[in-house]
Amino acid sequence: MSIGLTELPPPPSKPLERLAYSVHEAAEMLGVHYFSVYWLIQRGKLRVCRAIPGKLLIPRSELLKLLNSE
Amino acid sequence: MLKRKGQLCQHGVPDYSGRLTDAEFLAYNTVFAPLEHEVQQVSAIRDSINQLEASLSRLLDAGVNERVTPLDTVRGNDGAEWQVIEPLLKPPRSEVLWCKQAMGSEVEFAIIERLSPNSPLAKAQGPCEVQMTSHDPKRLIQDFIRGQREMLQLWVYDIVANVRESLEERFSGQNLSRVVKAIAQRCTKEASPKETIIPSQQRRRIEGLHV
Repeated sequence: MSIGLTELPPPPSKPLERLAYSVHEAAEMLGVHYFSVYWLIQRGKLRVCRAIPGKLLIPRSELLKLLNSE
Repeated sequence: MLKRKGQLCQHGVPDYSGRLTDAEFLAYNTVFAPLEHEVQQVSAIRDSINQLEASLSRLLDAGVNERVTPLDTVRGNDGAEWQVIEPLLKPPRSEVLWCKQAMGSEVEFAIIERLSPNSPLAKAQGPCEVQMTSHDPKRLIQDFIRGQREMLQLWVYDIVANVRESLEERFSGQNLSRVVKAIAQRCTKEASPKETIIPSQQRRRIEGLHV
């Protein structure tokens, strides 16, 4: 039995949000150079997770916390 | 000449004593070329930090000498007005400033990062973030230098992790551990305060080898 296109679920209305970002991506989102991001991490102001050994990933929630602290 | 998997090990690369095969050399150049500018930035910050360390006594004099006219004043995100003694670092898109403020009979010193005012981070946190403060200027600068060196090490770990990831994506199925090792050694040298031999335990950690 073939499945027609009309039977497929509709695409999500907006793209899925990422859970974590690389340092370069985080720097772009914050509008700073990645030097500033590494410094935030070194001072413990930005929490990171390490999915791959050594690679720094910044949870989206951490970036939102920084950007919403007005 | 030494061979690996039938290929001659004939290519030398900077800061690595071994020689790479054609396949390894291709992989090395493919992943290192887009990183070269970033590694140069690591090196530039390392040099600036070394210069700060070498001019510590001059910086301290400038900080405590009342006759030195402040370059500028900035309002920190703590609400206080700080006198700029001297810029310490000028990384892209920001500036790190050595500042002071009088607090009654005492003087407080600070390291402040001035961000581009239009950046989302500056809009949320204020353009002049007070990063560190102390009444002891020598300790403050030394702590700053130590923190910057730790930051560079973190940066290098991240570069090497990205190299490993990139190699796995582009050259899947090949054993390119020597390429990772060669790039890790090159980056570590660029971040090291002096050109010293890296202790083997630290080298293994950076290269992601488990012993």
